[in-house]
Amino acid sequence: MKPEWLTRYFTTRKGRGCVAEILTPSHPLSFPSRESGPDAACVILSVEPPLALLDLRCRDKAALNAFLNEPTGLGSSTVAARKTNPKASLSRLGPDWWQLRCHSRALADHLLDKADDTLVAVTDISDAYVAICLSGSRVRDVLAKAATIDLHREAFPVDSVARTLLGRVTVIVTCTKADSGGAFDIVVSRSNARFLWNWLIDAAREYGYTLKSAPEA
Amino acid sequence: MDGATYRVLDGCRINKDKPLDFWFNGEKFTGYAGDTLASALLAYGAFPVGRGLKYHRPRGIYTAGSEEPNALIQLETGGRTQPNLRATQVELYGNLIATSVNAWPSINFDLWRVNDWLSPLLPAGFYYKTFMGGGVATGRWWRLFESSIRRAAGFGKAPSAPDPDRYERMNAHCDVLVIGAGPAGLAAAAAAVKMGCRVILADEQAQIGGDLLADDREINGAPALDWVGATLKTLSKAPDVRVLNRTTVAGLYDDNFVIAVESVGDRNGPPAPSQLPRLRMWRIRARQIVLATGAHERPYVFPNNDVPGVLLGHAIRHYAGGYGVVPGRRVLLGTTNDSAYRTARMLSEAGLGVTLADSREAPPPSLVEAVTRVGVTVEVGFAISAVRGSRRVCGAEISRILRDGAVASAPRSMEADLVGVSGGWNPALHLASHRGAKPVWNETQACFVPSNLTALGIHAAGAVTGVGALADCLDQGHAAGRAASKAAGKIRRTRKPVIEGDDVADPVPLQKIWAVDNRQPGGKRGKAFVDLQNDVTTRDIALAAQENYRSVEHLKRYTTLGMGTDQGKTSNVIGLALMGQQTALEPEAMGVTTFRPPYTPIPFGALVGRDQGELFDPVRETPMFDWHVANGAIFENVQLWKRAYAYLKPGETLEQAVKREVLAVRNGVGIMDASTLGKIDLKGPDIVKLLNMVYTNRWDTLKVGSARYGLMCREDGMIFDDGVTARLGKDHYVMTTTSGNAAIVLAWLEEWLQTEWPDMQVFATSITEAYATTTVAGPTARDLMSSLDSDIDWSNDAFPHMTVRTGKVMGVPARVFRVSFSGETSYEINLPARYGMALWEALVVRGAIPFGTEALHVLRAEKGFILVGQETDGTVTPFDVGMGWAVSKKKDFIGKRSYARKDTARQDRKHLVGLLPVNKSTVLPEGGQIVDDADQEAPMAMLGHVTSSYWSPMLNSGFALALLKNGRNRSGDTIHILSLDGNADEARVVDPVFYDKERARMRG
Amino acid sequence: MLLIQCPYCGPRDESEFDYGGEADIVRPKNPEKLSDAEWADYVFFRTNTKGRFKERWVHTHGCGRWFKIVRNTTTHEHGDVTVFGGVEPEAE
Repeated sequence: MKPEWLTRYFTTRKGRGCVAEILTPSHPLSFPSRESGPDAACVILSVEPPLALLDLRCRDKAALNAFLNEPTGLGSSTVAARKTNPKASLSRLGPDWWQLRCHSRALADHLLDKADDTLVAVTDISDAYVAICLSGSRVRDVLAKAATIDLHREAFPVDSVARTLLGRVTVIVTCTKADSGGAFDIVVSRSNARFLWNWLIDAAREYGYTLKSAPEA
Repeated sequence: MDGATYRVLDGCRINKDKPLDFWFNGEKFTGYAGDTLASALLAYGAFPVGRGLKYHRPRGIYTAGSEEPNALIQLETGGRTQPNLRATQVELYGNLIATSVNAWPSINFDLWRVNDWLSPLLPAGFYYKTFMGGGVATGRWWRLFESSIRRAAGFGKAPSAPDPDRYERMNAHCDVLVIGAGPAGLAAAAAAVKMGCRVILADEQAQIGGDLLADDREINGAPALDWVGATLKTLSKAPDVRVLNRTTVAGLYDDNFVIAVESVGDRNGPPAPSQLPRLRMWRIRARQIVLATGAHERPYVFPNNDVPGVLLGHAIRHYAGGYGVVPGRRVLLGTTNDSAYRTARMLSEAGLGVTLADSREAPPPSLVEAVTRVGVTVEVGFAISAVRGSRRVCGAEISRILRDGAVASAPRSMEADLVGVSGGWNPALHLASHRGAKPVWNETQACFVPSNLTALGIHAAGAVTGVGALADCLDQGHAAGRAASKAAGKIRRTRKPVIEGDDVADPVPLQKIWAVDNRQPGGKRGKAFVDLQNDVTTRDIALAAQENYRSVEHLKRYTTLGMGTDQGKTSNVIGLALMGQQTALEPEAMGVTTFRPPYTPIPFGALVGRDQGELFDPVRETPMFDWHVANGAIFENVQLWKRAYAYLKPGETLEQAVKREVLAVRNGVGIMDASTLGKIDLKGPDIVKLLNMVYTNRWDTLKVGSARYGLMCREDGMIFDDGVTARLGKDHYVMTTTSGNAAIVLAWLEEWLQTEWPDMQVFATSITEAYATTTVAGPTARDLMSSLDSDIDWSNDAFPHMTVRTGKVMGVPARVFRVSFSGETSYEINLPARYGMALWEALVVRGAIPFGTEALHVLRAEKGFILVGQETDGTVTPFDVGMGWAVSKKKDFIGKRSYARKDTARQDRKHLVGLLPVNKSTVLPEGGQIVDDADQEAPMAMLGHVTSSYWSPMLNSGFALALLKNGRNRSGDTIHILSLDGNADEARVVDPVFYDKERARMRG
Repeated sequence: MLLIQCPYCGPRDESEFDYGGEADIVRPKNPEKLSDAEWADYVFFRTNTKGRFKERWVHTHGCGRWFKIVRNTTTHEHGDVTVFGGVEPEAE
């Protein structure tokens, strides 16, 4: 007999005279939304939908631009900066290292098909990471408990990107909004996601927080 | 306790509308909001609050700040207790509970007071000489007496219960950090803000103002506190200013990294409200620092100067002006400088009888005139030469003093119950010393001042530079604020504000007096304490000089001068000056010991922060983690990963579970969560070149769809990782690593690619976490795979051992490797991580038995497969573990040359062997040392050690792998393995492959 | 804690970096032709400089790049950042 909770993870469908099973995805951060603490607007922690994330390595900027331009309309930026448009956002993490966050799975698949493994190396790392969004009036204070980089609005304005440490967890932090306390995207490796999430909630306790679960993919 | 009869003035720092009850040594007291524990206690008089460390003489509150040597207290009880806090820095709150440290059994009756009467037997170095030295008294005596000596010498007690409070940690950045919020610091902060800087202003006191809080000073003709208020208002309006009061800057480190501890949650007493931390540790990165830490008053030393009721002169003014407390009726002040006149005037105006003994022959006439007018008796050319009393001051003596501190007349007896002593000022240069800035002697001010700070990005201002006048402090503060801003890159033209202090018109420099040498007939003799916290007397320093412990560092270690929680803030300079007198050296030539962080002690909680319990260390979970938890898994830590070690069914022991799991894989099919295995995606035309260099074997011939095992070594030829690498496309490979080394191997590849072979075109990307990896292993593994909806042909012909196939498994794109660590038919299925849990459950539903890492280790050890980090430890070559077959002779690779080195080429190195215990039911101890003869004399000739040892359900026997000297040539020998319990087990040396030597099962 | 100037990411805390020892140790082209002593010198021996020392660091938790800095081993003053070949930092 199949226990009830098992059905969360895969569904059964009938077709062509046999039973075919399709695997269904799961996410390390799945929970109901809730509010807590003195002022729930101080820190808002939300889980982003599953990613379509590509790792791009390339030593020839022209080749990268040629590769990306037609499908995404994006091109190389300076290290530690992000370029973004409705199709995707491109963050440069190092001199020969970018991450492209596609806003559709189809775009990611298209680029993976197109890659030739030589000038531009494209690797699908969608499932290696989980994205969290932090905002609220005290968001910088919460991040400052762990981040040693300067997240001041002038030192780290919108579209700044840093691969850095939050406490002892390596993350990629992006400033996405300037208003109120600002908003930050944190991309963390899947295995560390729950630890970091619980750490951030604990850090937000003294101010109050709102947790928002991930929308369905 | 009887009334607080010594609260005779108003005090600008307390709120008399808010009385607060508190408990000290079990008695009830009442103070006011704004009090420190010290000021509230002094309102009841200058009674003993502690005992001296060595002689256990009664001690009272001596200072008004962080330099306090005497009034150490234990705050609160149970898990919240904190030892050795300075009563002078503890803010009063309702129902505070404090007790004295270092008094046993009680403050009023201390048994160890016997040491005072025995003191002729207890000079400096007594314990070392008597208990620890050679000769008659040997280490045995020390062991016998150590616990009682340590109890007698101890300070506070460590908490006995877990600390229930939260502690927080905060990183901060600023252009200018101003340390100290007295006049200089405030002026500096104001200037830096005007220049457009991001500013942090930190001060250890609850109230901002520093020395201005002590009395009625004026700035620009108005009360100084008005200027403090206005400046604070300006600061609070600026967008990027953080004022941190109650914050002690504890350490300065490289590149102006600063730690500071802020008292947050318990200012109203524990527990801290809501979710606030008790303390917050600030980690500040400052572009520039303004050091405005002020100065500590130092006394001069005279006999019996440790009696309660002897305070620093400046402290008396602080308690009177700030808290309205004067713990005496008849006050004797002894001074060598101008600063005591203000105190004298304030006390006399309050109606107390005041005598001021000024050692100088010609003090400023304006000051003498001003205090005489309000009734102070000034004794010019006199110094305090002794104090009478033991539990309280009950009188004093003054004597005419010569320039060097020698007494020139018979003492005059004085009526006094409160004695204040002002010997000059020691700049609080501790933080500059943290950065390695050498203090230099300033002869005019007779003090050490910090030097060469600008190169370190530090700008000193105010009393820390040795100046005393308020106007100088304000000027220097402003200038330092501007200089720091400019150095931080903020250049803006601003007008210099007019800030003027109310300083003495005709100041006279201080007279250098360190100790009053009272040898006149009729003069009171007695111990004259240099270091009150460590009970170091003038005689101890003379003894140290006599025994040739003359450098400041030797003096410190020999006499303990300047050790303890106060680090000699009031005593160091006097101690070294007295040593200088013994050895005819000026303080300049003596130098000072190095001050090191922290400035005042930091509770462990503040250092730990929230890194405890569940958040102690990051935890890494696989996509199937929740299933493991729900199904009885016990976990092992592999680096930060939580790996399922074994799955315990209800009622099952670990041994039973492992046996069941092993047999499931040998006889049916088991599944294991191998998601933690390192996976590195390699792309580019030069991958083969790279693999040929980092692996010991050759990679030129690997076909697309095939996989190969490889060993990685360092340049010294020792194994550091192993794994399988498969070729997925023309220029696309995927490398696997051990779980613990995933990041290390990727970093290794990057290091070589970036630093040594930048022309090699290879990109390496970690994809460890992109995939959930499930190992399906066992004789029926193929049947299980065939039951999955997939386009992959699972047959042995289409998909043989050491190949890789891609396709869809249950609707999801998958990479499947046929590799085997268990020795059985085995598939490693890699799916995008989000589908890992679903596949796992689909396999469980089909009857596969989950097995953990312990079962895997048994399975692989039966096959004689090494586990990197278990069979290898950084001293093991491929040849040592019998894997010479994986080492190419036809190419260069990292480590190859080392195999020709004499030691590495030896034929009798330790080799990997199998061991079978003679008693089959024995499982040999892992790590057990191997000897030929267990009865030989120690130290024994050790031949190697057991690296892995398990119970084998297949052999129905214990078995082990071991590294044994010359092991390959010792097959069949019997050896002995020593256990920690002293027993030895007998075992036979055998081949390390115990099961399926033909390797038919994993190829089948 | 040092504040290290990563040539690609700018100033970052020391905690983001790993130390790589003495700089400019080049792997011999033909190890087989070296004497044991020469090989041991490459593998095991490093100078232990008091004063200015050129050393390697890698920005492990940032851009992942290796570079060299000169650090005074007695005072911790550091600077003179240089990069390895292959990828140059861009000034944009």
